[in-house]
Amino acid sequence: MPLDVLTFAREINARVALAAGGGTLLLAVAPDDQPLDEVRRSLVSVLSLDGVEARDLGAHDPTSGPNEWCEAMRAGSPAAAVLSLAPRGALEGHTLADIANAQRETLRTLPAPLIVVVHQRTEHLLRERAPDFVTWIARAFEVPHFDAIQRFVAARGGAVAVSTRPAEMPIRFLHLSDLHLRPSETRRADQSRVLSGLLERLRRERESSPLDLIFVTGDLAFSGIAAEYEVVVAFLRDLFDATGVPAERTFVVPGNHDVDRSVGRWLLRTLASDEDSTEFFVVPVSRTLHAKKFDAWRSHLGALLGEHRALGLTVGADTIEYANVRGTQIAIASFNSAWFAQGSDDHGKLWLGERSVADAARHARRAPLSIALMHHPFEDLSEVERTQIEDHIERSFDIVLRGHLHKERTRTVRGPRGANLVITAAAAYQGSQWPNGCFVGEILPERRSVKLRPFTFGSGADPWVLDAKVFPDQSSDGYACTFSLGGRQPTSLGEESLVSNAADAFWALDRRDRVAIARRLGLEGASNRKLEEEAARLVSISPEGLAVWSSFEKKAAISARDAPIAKVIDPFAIEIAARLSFPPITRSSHNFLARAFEALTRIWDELLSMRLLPELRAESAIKEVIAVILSRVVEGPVSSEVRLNTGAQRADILIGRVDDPVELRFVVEVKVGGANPLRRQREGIYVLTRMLGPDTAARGALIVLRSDLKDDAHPPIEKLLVRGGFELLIVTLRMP
Amino acid sequence: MNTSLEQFRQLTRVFDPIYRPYSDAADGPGAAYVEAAHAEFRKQIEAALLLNDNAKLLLAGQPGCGKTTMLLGLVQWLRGMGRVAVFVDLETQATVQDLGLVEVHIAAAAEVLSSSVRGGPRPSDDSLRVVSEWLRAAQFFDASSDAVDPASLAADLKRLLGAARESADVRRTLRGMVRMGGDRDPQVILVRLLDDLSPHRPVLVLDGLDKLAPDQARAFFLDDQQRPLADAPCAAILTIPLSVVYEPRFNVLKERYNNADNAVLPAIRLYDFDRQNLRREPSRAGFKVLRDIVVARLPSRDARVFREGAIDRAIEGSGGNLRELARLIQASIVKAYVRSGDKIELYDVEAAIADQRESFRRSYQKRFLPFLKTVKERFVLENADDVGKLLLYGLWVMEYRNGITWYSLPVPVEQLIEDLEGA
Repeated sequence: MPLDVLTFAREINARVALAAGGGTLLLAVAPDDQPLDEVRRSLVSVLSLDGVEARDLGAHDPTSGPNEWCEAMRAGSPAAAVLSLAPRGALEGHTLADIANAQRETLRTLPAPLIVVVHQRTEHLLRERAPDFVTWIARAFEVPHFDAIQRFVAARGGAVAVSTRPAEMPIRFLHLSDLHLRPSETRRADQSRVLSGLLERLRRERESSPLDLIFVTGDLAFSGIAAEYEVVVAFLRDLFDATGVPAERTFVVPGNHDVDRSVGRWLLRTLASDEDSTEFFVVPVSRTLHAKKFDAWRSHLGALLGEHRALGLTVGADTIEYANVRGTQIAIASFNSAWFAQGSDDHGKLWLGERSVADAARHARRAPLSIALMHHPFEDLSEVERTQIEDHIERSFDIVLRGHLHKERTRTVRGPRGANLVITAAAAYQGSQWPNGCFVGEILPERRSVKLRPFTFGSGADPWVLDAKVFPDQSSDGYACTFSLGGRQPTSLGEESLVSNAADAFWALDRRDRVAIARRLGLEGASNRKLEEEAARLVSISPEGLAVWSSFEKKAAISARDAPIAKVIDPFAIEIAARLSFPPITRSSHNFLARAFEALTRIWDELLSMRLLPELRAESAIKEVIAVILSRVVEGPVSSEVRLNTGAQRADILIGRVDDPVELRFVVEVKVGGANPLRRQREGIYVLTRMLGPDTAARGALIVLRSDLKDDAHPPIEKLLVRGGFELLIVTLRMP
Repeated sequence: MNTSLEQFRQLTRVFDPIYRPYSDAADGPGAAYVEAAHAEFRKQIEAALLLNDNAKLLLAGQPGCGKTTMLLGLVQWLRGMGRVAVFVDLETQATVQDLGLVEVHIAAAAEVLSSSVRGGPRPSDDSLRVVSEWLRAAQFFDASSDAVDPASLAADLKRLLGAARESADVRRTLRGMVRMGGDRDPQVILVRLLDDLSPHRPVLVLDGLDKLAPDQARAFFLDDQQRPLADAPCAAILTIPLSVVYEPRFNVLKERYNNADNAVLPAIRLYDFDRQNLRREPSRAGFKVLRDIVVARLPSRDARVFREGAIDRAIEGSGGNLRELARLIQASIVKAYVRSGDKIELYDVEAAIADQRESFRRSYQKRFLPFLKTVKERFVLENADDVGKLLLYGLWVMEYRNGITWYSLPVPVEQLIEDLEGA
């Protein structure tokens, strides 16, 4: 867990102050989803608070080593220096580790403190491949979020570092959808007029704004037959020619107009349950007949874009393809929402397969940028899986590109598990008398922003023009709109393994559930352990096992999701604390504990009313969330599960440090009320009474979570004096 | 006692992991060296060097366990007996990531010549002339003069190494010369120089080979064509990476090096191990040695800045690893400074240990747990596969020896395991 900003700032400044005149190596470790440039700059700012002129050595070649770092530092004799290293991929990472290990002796010649900023994955790699080098690091810090550092610096009147690097080169993409191409004689002229105008526009822009990627989100054809795909292929060839984008950087998914409905007429119209879905999307043979609806799509687009391409016909991790644009790896998922598309009554009958999407999502999260393509809106998916699918996509993809609606729509979804931008393109061609449109986007991966320029077909000499109606308030930015993608929430390992491996998830269940699964699979035997082992094997390899397991899956998912929730809640806690104008309450202030818990109660209630607190089951997750909220309202570190001085006792939450004077330390015990909250309260008081003492803490608070409280009914905070004259507060919170 | 900022700075400096305690010493490991450290292991090396003028010894060990410091102590001891002991620090002379035997031979020859400049015995003029001719034949640059004095020859050889360090082309050319064999191979000049010094029973100490990456180390040591220094006319000690010891083919080194069975320098033993009852008891001797090591680094050897018990707790936290101990002491000093204390309290050390625990937590992998539990319960590190190696390199597990080799967990790892078991 990263240190709070104040502790971090104090310690890193102390390290630099104490090392004055000599070298020392410090490692600053940032979560994998944080941009290292920002983290590095925030460190330079935090050092400036103590008047240290730290030099920002920038992002170093990830395969440089101590020799080069020392050399860079020697020029100009800075008081301290900060550099970042971000190896791309395993090969660069291994090279970095080997060089760091081999050149470690050079570290002895460091002229001043050097702070090397890396991602957690790089730290992991260094520990594994360069253990000797790691022993030369004086301290490896887990860095607080760079935003929090910058705010901290600004609040103290420090200079917030500004970017001095050259402007980032955007990744440009074209988003087309709903072309409905067909060889009809009657429409050919109109079709050609609209689309050749588009090609002309793109050709003109090629020099000034070259495109990197093309996405087409379905309905390329009109009724999914071979003759139409010949027109589609011809248009795409012209598009490649006009834009210069190669076939391998063009990504397509099928829509309802891309299926051959004459084939689909006799097939299963929809699925009935999760179990059916698991079978359909996990067992390849289950999809054989439905896949025939896409025969013309597959043969024509496969021939044009590549036989090995996803084309929306794959499932699970195979849905993901990667594009590397100027060093940024982008995971692109081609989801096929048209497996069950058949007519005008598709609403609620479509399936993406939760298992398949979860698998793809897990892979997508590993890339710094991820894009999901699908034709239909989520609303058209079956109710059985809609929420879960939205959940996976919202959590794992930065951008979702869709079509089908024939009108532009964009929205940023900012949910408890992350934020993403959903872009729905207009139909690129539905006849010149109807609106025809498309988007050109510019992604700045480091800034995590997307700028969208909407185009529309109009009449006149220049048929495709900027569409001022889509973002009418953005006239100052040429009717383009810039969206922030926000930070991606890291995925807990527990969750990774849960979705990646049914066997792992199986073992994450309660023992009773594991045995129940084994019994449902018809396994018998004297030893439960053997039964469980056999069941674990079956759930990962057989459809029956998968089907049985999937009914238990949600249960496992809930316990796995609890783990990272504290991190998700943190930005909201900051926002609410700021909105309610809670200044950081200093520990030495009058009535500190009561004020702190009053603030906690207010924020907790806000989070509940915003439905941001999911059904937290695990007591540990509740404690984490409470600790995170407290850390945003009090001055000083807040940590959970802390050993107190004696070593034997553990406080659920400690406000203050174990080495602070006793009057500045506060212990908190959290009890989930359950069926008998008063009994849990008595237990909590007993535990706290034993914990309070001259060596541990002078004051404490007991938080009881009760599910029997009505909305807005809040028992007041109670104050007790317990044995030894120690003060104790009792705070009641509503259970989510 | 009020500890000033300057005192805190001094303390922080001498306990930084990159601080070289012997950097101020003209020769040997410096005043901070505590001879009792690794006494048993050192006695074995000393005996081998006393009894066999051609002893070829290997030295491996966990990072920060004190290999270089012990070698510098040995060099000083050998010189005290009138022997020529040449310490070759390969790291400062060659590119470790692309190190060939040829660079090793050139670096060793350069150091042999340098040692004669520092008052050691002078090689014969004939040998010096051979070196000079070899340099001229190499034709990388104009040798500084026709002079055959050891100082300029050593300087030329080091210039050549410098060029090789900077240029892959030079390295390739040098290796090509070795393949041509005969007088072109710089091994020839090293052998001549060592032959001249044989009355002084020369010992070559090659430090830095332990920095080779595992793949490179495998090729360097286990390739039958290489045999580094195995046939040199002198005694030699070579540091090797721990990874080599766990190579399946490590056995072949037994034929070339005298102590291949016993090449691993263990951590300073904090505990005595009672094998029969599977118990470890704190070792007074071990704690004393480590306490002495800490005190030896303190300005004026004054330990009053530490509250009673603080040093011992840091020692316990380090598991007996010297660099880890330095790091913990330094971190405790920083903690004391941050809270404006003037003494390093026990809880400063506890906080430093907790930081270490969190570092371990970040790099923890599920697959470690069974191994760590076995170490905790039975003091055994099961089969030296990849996990075992990772745990040893990463200092998750300390390797000790009293009679037999056994293993133990340092305090931060013990705490982490407790946490994980309690979770």
